[in-house]
This record gives sequence, C-alpha cells and structure tokens, in this order.
Amino acid sequence: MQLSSFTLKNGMQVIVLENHRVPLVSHAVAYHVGSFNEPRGKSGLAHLTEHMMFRASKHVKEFLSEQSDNGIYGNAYTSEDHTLYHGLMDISKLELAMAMEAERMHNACMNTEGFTREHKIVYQERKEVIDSSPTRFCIWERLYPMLWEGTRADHSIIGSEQDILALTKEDLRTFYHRWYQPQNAILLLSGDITVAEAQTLAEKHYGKLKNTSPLPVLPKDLPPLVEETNLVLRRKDVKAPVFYRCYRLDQGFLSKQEQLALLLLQKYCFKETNPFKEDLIRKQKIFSTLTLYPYYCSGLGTLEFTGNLVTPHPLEELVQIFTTAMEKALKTLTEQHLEQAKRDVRYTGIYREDDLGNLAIWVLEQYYNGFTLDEIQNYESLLNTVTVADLRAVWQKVCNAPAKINGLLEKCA
Amino acid sequence: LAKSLQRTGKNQRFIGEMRMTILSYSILALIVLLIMALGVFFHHRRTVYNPRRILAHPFFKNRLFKDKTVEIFSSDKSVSAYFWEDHSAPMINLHFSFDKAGFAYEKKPGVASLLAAMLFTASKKYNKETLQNLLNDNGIRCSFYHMADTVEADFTFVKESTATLISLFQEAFYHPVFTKDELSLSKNKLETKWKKYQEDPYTMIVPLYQKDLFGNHPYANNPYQDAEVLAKLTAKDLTKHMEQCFAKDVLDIGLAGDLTPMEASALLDGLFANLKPTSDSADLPVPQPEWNAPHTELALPCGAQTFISCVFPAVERTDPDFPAFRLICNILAHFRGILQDVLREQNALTYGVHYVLRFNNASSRCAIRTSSQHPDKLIPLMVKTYNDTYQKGIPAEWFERHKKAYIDKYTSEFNSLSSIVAKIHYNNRSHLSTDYGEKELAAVKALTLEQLNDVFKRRFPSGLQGNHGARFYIGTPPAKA
Repeated sequence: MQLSSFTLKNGMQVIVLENHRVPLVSHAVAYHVGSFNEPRGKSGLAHLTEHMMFRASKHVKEFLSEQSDNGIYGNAYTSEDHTLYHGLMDISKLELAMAMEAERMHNACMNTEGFTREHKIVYQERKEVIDSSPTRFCIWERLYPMLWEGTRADHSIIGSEQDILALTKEDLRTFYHRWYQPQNAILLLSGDITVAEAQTLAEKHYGKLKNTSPLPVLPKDLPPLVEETNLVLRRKDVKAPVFYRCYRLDQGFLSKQEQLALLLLQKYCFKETNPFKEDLIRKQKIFSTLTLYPYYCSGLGTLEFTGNLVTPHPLEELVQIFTTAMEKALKTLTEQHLEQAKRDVRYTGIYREDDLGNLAIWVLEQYYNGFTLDEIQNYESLLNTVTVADLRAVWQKVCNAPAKINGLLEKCA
Repeated sequence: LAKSLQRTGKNQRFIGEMRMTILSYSILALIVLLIMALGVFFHHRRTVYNPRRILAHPFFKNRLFKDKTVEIFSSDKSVSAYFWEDHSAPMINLHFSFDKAGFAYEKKPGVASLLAAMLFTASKKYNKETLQNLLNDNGIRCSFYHMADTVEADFTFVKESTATLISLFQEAFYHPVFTKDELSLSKNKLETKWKKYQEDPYTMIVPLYQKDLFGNHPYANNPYQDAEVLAKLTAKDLTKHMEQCFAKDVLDIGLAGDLTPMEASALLDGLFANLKPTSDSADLPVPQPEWNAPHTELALPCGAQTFISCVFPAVERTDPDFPAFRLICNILAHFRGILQDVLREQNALTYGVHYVLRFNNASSRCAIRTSSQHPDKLIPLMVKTYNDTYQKGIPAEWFERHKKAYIDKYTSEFNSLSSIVAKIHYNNRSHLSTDYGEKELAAVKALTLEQLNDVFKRRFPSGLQGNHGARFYIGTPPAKA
C-alpha cells in the first residue's frame, strides 16, 4: 500500500493511496461526525443532514444530478462516528469532483422545499430498510439502545420514527455549520494520482476554505445501568429464529493491541472447522450459521455474536451454551491456529487493495479507531506481535465488559 | 487694485493647481478601484464553483483507457476464456459458470443449491479440515452459488498459489465427497437462507411474481427450498447433477490478473482439461408469459410498506437495439431517471426507484422496482409519468444528460479485478465479442434522439399498467408485525 498524508493550512487532512492500474480515482471526503454527535431527542439528524447535502448549494442546483451528469458515481453514508461523501470517477473528472465537494462544504443550502421532501424520503427509507426487516428492527431498535442506554450510542443511525418527524430545518442548519468544516474533514484520494498532484489540487480547492467555529467537545458517556440484560422478542414475520449476544466495549476499554487480538480471535472463530463451530453446528446441531463480529467506531465498540437456530432453545440456555463453547475453543487454541488467522488477515489485506473505494474506507476506519498512518501502513507487522496469550487475555477482558445483552428473536406463537 | 489683482491671479493659479490635484487623485482612486474590482472579479472566478472553467482546462491529460480483454484457449482449444492481463498486484480473479445447471434445470428440486453449497467442502484425499486449511494457508478464496440457468464460481488467489490451486481443484472439484454429516449441515444452512429470504420483502417479491408470470415453467421454481424438499436429496443426486451438467460446452470463463496469456492458458489446462466435452442438459422450452394483463396484487409474507415491481420483456444483449434499450432504462428508472425525479425528488413518495435486467436463456426481463408508504398516490403518478413519456417521447435534455453520463462512467466499471472479471465473464456468457464494451460505448455515442425514441416506441410497453405489454405487481405487506 502506497500511503501518504499531508495537512492543509486550515487543518483538513489529506490521505493519498496510489494505484496506477487504470486511470480511475476514488475521491472521498469524510467528516468526523455521525449519530454519536446528535443531541438527545434528535436521532437521525446526521443522516438527514447527509441527505440534504445532495440538494442545492449556493452555486449548484442539485448535487446528485451535477455528479451523475458529469460521470461521477456519487454517494454517501452516515455511520456512528463519520459521514462520508464518495465518488468513483475517471481521473479527468477529479478536479470537478473536488470543486463540487468544496462547494458543498461551505455553501450548502437548507431550503424549506428541499428539507420537506428529504424529510419524507428519510421516513420512507426507515420504513423500507428498518421496519420491513424483523432482524434489523429488533437489533438496531430494541437491543442496541438498551445496551448503550445513557450514552451517545443509544440510538440507531437512521433515527427513531418520532425523532425523525420532529427534526427541523434549523436543527440541520446548526448541525451543518457546527461540523462541516475543513478542520473536521479528511480527504481520501485513492487511485491513479501522485502525492504532488493531490497536493496541488487539494490546496487549490480545499485550501481556501475557512473554519467557521471551534469544534464542540462531546460529553462523557455514562456508565452502563445494568450489567447484563436478557430480552426475548417475538414478531409474526420472523421465519428464522436468531440468538444474539453483544458485549459493550466502552471508549478506551480495549487498547490497539487488544483490538488486533480481537480481530484475530474473530478470524479463528469464523473458520468453518474450528472447535467452536464444530461443537455448536456439527456436534450439538443447535445453530445452522454463526458469526462473531467485532465493530468499532472511534475506539468505542461491540463484539457481536449472532447464531441462526436450528431448534428452539430458551435464552438462558443459549447464553450458557455459547459461553461454554467459547471457553472450550479458547482452551484448544494453538500457535498454529493463530498463524492461520494471521495469514487470513494478510491475504484479506492484499485483496482489499484491489478495490480503490473499499481500501480508502478501511484506512479511514482504522484511522478513526486510533491507529496512526504509520501503523496502518505496517498493519501486518503489528499483527505479528499478537500472541496466543493476547487472544486469551482479550477474551477474558471482553467477558468482563461493562455491559452485555442477550437477545432471542422468534416467531409469535 | 494692483495688489488685489495679483492676489486674484495667485488664487486662480491656486484653484487651477487644486483642480489638477483633485483630478489626479480622482484618476488614481479610479485606477485603484478598478484594480480592486478586477481582483474581486478574478478571485470570485477562481473560488466560485465553475464546472465549465474546470473542464475547459483539464488538469490530467493523456491518460487514456483501453479495454484489454482478449480470448485465450487451453492447449487443445477445447476451453476458452475472456482474459484481462494485469500485473499491478500479485493477485488473480477467476469467475466461471456452467450453463443449464441452475435451479430451472434441476431433475430434483433443490439439487443445484445444495451442490453449490457443498462444492469444495471435502474430497477423496482431503477431509473438510485439511481442505479448508490448505485453502486458507494459501490464500485461496472460493465460493459457489446457483442461479436460474447456471451454477457459478468465484476464485481469488495470489499468483504464488496458482500451482496449489490447480492441485486442490483437481481433488475437490473432480473427486468431491459428500458425507451424510456435511449434507445435513448444508441443508440446515440452506433452510435458514430460504427463511431469511422470506423475511425480506424486497427479495421475496421476485419469486412471487415469477410464479405468476411463468406458471408451470421451471423459471417459476423457488431459488431455495424448505427442509421437507431438501430432506429428499442424497449425495447421489449431487453427483448425478454434476455429471449431467458440468461440461466444456457449457463452460464460460472470465479471468483477470497477474498472469501472462501463456500462464493463463496453462491455468485453463490445469483446471478444466478433465471435464467431459458436452453437457446432457436439454434446452428449456421457451415460456409464454402473459404480458397483457391488468395489475396483480401479491400478498407479501413480510414488510412495512408496499413493494412494487413492473415487469416487461427486455431486449437481448446481442440485439442491435440493446444499447438504446439500456440507455432508455437509465433515463426512466436509474437513480437519476425521470421516475426517480418525479416520485422521489419532487413528491417524496418513495426512498427510490431502480431497474433490474434479468437475462435468462429462454426469457429476458426488465423490472422497474420501488416501494412506498403511499401506494395510492405513487402508483397513479408512476403510471402517468411513464405513459406521458411514452406518448411524447424522451425529452432531448434527458437524452443528452444520460448519454453523457453513460459515456463518462464507462471507465468506472473497471474499478477492480473482481468487477473486471465479472464484466468479461458476463460478455463471454452472453456470446458477445471481447471488445463488446467499446462497441456498446461507440453505439451509445452515435445514438440520436430520433433513434432512441424509435427504440422506445418499438421495444417498450405502451403503458405500465393495464393491457399494454407490462405486468404491474403490487406486493402488499401483512398486517402489523
């Protein structure tokens, strides 16, 4: 990976990933703002703001048309800790994409007409994506908010129905001016571009933008109210019952080394033939599929275990079965297993570089999780320092996480 | 008097001098103001978003893109592949499919899905654990899946693992072992997959309308089966399906990555030389869907809003009208199309509208899809917008915008080896030439508005709803979950 970085005078950071296979470039601007930054009762604000960014600005009638008409595959997403506007394009369109994004950063309009429409569209999106899916609804709208109660992570990115409907144009305007500033943004360029070219263009289009106000400091999260919660959810439209266990990993709970250990633990558990899956899928035949998924944003995260049930079991029993199987799997973990997991991550790294956009997003996520660009560049060397003892230790630490939630989603009788 | 006159003369001189001074200062001030105004003007020109100026002075020059697809052959010429040579990273992507092996060609329901789930799990020489370790340790990623017509495979591997891949392929693909235990686990997985499928209204509406559209034809079969159907399948059924369907004459391959054409040919020899020459699968009868019908309501098993699919016959990719057909689909139902503009951007009645083209051996379709909380408002507006456009023809402005976007976006389809390999495999499977992409691009560049509207009149339904050559499916959600 050819990774370089520099910072513009206004504080905007630029990351360049060179890849000269085809004359294409992925251009992305990430703002360090997401659903974590939403004031209480204003869930969905970051996402709705992202939607509004595709409407008008002072000099652009509509961004989506402007991009599309010029051959730029433009899109955006909102996460818990960042909002990313990205596009894949022929290199000849890059300067235009930069000029457009700079315009969006300092000249976006929050007009009433656009707001009214986008407000309704987001509501439709919620109906289609969340309310139409029993699993997504139960995990994001019921289990997550309970696990993170009293923190900035206690609501879904798309926002609750009630909050979405109550958002105003003024809310969006304030949010935009507060967070959409060069000092809170990272420009990611990945593809057929050199650092010198990136520097010339970044300074020309983004260097002139001024910061409008100091960035607000987020309040500290409250500690969890309940250590462990069990929740059984029943819906008519559930066909495949799911068991879900999630560990809450508060800010700074895991060091960078521990985050890497957890990633390797996931790779070990994900393998079809490891003792964990052998036991729960093949021998006991309790689950048909299993996933273990660590997820972080800005150092705060979760470790999620999801299993599709073959036969019904009470929730308490499933929790016991899962923890026993994990303990057994950790006991049988060897150096060889760890080496296999490391190889797996290494190959994933090689294949990740194949896709210009995905690579840029991966770099960004690691960066927000506290890894320096040097560490990201040397990710493989960092992985090599993780030992079997580290994996066992991180599992012990996760078991003592500040809060856990167990969920069982099944069909109504 | 003389003194007074002297003074007056002095005053006049003084006044004259003053005038000159004021005039000079005024000119100077005007020059300064002019310079400032010019400064502001040029600063404004530099800083304000101005696409014309940027495009008139391109920063990047002479970086032309060229499609590099070539056809390569195995040493005995019995197997061919579309190949893209690329040495920018030490990795290779391989995508291949066996035609007439998918769920529409099954002798026993579910056999194609079960086979795809079980390929590369174990072989005569390697049990599951050994095989998984060998694949993992050599960075070989593989997945098999099934469609209506095909069973397909994706392989990603690093160059140094090529020889290992060939030897593992020889074992796992030609001498697979389907143990009772593994069969049972794969059936559990497939059953879950089908249940999950039924929890998603967006995917579930497709088998529902295909049942209505195709009746007893195999294209109406479900892509996955439930436990009861899967329970009847044995290892023998899988072997039989393989023996019947996997052959060189139905094999289509796309290959891209860090190989020379000679190395790529050797890879074809190593992987596919042992296949039998011809498949035993018969062609499907051509289905005769009823395209002229009023709208049809479908009861969805899940969902919190109404899901709509409007289906009509698509133009084949080999047809000369195809470039225009695809461009019209973009103009109508792309995310920046006319329907999206009216239904979403102007009236906020939906999260989005898009279209899907499905090319099957015996039937090709285009489906325009959307969903809404307000079907009572959305459906009439959708139908009216389409009908009006059909009557009046595509407006020139929409044609120019989408034609330009199509041309500008062409290179973006070559973003990654995996997208390149998917594209060239698809061209191979559709019997299109290696340079088809550039030909289609040239055809779009040459299109006129008159030609486009001619294709619109001849190849599209004259209305979305009613008896106009399209089927309008309204998927209604169940009562509150």
